[in-house]
Amino acid sequence: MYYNWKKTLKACQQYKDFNNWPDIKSESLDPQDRKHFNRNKNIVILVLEGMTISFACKKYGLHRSYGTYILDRCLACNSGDTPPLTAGLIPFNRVKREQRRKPLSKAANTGSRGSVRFILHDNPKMKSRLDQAIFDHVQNKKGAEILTNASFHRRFLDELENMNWPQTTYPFDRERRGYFAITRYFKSKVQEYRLTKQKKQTTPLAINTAKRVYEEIQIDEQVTDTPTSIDLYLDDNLIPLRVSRISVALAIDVASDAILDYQVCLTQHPSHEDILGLLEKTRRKWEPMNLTVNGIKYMPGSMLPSALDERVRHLQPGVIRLDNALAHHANRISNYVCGKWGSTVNYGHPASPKDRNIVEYAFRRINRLTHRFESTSGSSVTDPKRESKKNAKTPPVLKLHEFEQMLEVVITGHNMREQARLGGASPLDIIRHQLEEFPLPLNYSALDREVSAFLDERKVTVKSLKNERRAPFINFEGLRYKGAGLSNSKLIDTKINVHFDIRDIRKLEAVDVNGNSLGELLAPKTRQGFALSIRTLRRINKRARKSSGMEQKTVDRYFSKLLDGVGSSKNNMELIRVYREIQDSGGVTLPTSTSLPLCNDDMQLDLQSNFKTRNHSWQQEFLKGDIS
Amino acid sequence: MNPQAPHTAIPTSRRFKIATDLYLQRFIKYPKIAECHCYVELLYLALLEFNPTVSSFTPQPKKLKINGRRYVPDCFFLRDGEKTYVELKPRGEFGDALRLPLEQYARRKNCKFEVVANEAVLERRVRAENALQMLRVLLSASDEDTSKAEEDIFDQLFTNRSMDISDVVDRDNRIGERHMEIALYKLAHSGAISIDIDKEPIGYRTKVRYLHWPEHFLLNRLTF
Repeated sequence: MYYNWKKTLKACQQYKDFNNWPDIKSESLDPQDRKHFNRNKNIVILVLEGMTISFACKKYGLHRSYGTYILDRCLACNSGDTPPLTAGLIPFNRVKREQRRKPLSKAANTGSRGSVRFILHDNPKMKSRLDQAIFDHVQNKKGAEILTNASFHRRFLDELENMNWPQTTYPFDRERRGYFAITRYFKSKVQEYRLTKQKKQTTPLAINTAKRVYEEIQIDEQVTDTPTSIDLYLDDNLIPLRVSRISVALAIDVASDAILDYQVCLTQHPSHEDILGLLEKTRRKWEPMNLTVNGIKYMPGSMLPSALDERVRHLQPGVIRLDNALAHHANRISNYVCGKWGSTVNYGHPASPKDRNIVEYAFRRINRLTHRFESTSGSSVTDPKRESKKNAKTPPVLKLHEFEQMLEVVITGHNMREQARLGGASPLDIIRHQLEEFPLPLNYSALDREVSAFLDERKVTVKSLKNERRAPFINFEGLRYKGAGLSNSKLIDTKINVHFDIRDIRKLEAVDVNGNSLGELLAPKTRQGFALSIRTLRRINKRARKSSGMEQKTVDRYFSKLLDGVGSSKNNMELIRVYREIQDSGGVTLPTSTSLPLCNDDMQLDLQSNFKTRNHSWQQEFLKGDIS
Repeated sequence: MNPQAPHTAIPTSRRFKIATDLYLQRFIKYPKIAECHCYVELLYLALLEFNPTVSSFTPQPKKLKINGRRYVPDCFFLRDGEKTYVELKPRGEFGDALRLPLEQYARRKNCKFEVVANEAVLERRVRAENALQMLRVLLSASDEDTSKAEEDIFDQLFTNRSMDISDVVDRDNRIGERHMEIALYKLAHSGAISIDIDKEPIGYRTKVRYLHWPEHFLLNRLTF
């Protein structure tokens, strides 16, 4: 039932007082509408106070019919609906949905305005079927029809025909059969369902300050978005080489939001050794890097938490949260965290990065640095941030060591930055405060004995081949290890334990089943020249299998092969990884440069003296400057 | 450790490891790395660990086949010599199709079968999390000899009956005086003393009380 303004006022007495109407500030309106809005408002107030419409309109030089129009705009409505009230005072404001009052046209005897909505309103089942079809199309449901304007129009007509719709009535009495009207409806519905599909804006979750530091540590890794280069010093020339994108692994404390440490992994697919390296770094004292890049320096007071206090390096981590990456499920990680630390490892539900939102958010902060360079986010081939073809032909101007230094400054700087969500304190402040206030659990395992993430043990069998009159040996990673401790006939064909460091397996410590030391076992002499990690050894073997299989499986030969293939960015990254591995273990300095000064005279002399003692082909070539 | 408890859990399949919210933790009463398929299981094991009447437990202890369906109970433990299989379920709802055969199986094996509601475990979450914290410290200090420090703690408790953790733990020299802290947690683990860990995280003001004096300690005191 339709209520005009008088009936509405009779039914709802509270509307007689304008103070009960919703308030709309005239300042919020368009300046052109303000004048008319205030005028309309005054007319309505006068009428509500008991004046006649004629008198109220005359005051503003208007005809009394305008007063009736305004009052109807504000107060008239169908029964059960709420009248528009103050919204009706705004000039040209559409206060109610357009609704057809006339019956549908027959043989085009009237206009078609509002006919489609009229049909849909009268046939709710048909409307729900059509809406469902649009919803399935927008949601990309399995088996859903891909709708177009034409196909939706056809579906609408089919629905009407199924209902035996008279052929003389709208839309069949029109030339286009209501095509534009139904298309408008289709588009508006698509828009509506797309909006509901949009994800909510996520805001960083407030840090739970009730948590204790180190109670929960989140670890994850991400490929950085910045291509870098290295300079190779060959034949008195510095050759810039493109390096494939590196990965950064982060360990972050949830309670304080402090980045405990980070690990630059020279690969796009970090292995468990990278994660072990990161875990071990959190227990070692942080030392500031020697920053050589012009214009960057540490923010005052910035550091990693391990440099704060000795107690921080002994804090007992509670739960280490990781995702379900294959590398994280390595036994070495669980054995180290659970076995040697006594902490808990949690892998979380699959495909649920929000469970580790703190570390994911930390990557977003790092991406602010990495996205400043032209690169690619890897999201699509048409990524606007993608490095152009022209620039991709030459090595990036940013050097790897420069990038690492920037990363260090950004990460350490975050730890001393005050945050509103930490109550105005910095992550380091939170750690300092909790160290004093609470008996945070300490891990005492590393106090008396060495607890290294890289130390491992394995059971092997002592062998002796009768047809070969040679000393007993063991097989380990495909190599023969020998040592004086094995020269005992009782040990042959028995199991012994070998302890080793996975970063360098040139030497193993052998122990018999009773725990008696059998001394050192040494790898073949050909492998003794440079540090040999299990990872490198496996890569050498893999490369050798792919080739003829006859090439020498030594580190220097492998390095030489890498030098031969310096064109590929992945090859370059492997080159620098092997170089650093050897450099970290105190081995000979190899002919690449990753830090400035790139290659000084002392280093050259050192190189020459080292290489002269050994007689490998690539070293000789290098000294002659034949490698290009 | 009671030899009757099985000490090898059924290993979780690789696919299931990824599908669940997997927690790995070492315990004292279960010396291998326990695989808990949800956080509630981890909390439940922590509660068992600090329950002095429980001598040992095994997570995922036995593979059974019930009506053609593979089933592994969540936990098995020995409490005062009594064997119990436990299944943790939300609201303690466990279908009769599995429960009845399991109860029958348990009766045949002279065991008990219990269904524990997740909510019942979560009610004791603070206690379980504190227990985990103490457990981790004990695991990291398994080689420490703390017999003298334990005597000292009993001495203090004999005099004061109740004290704060700050009376035992030296906050300025925690690493140097770690034996006291480790001894405190060891005594709580063995059930000789009680630490108020039910309501809030362990702090310097957490109360410590004795539960029962060791025999040798009382004998020494009587001689004195």
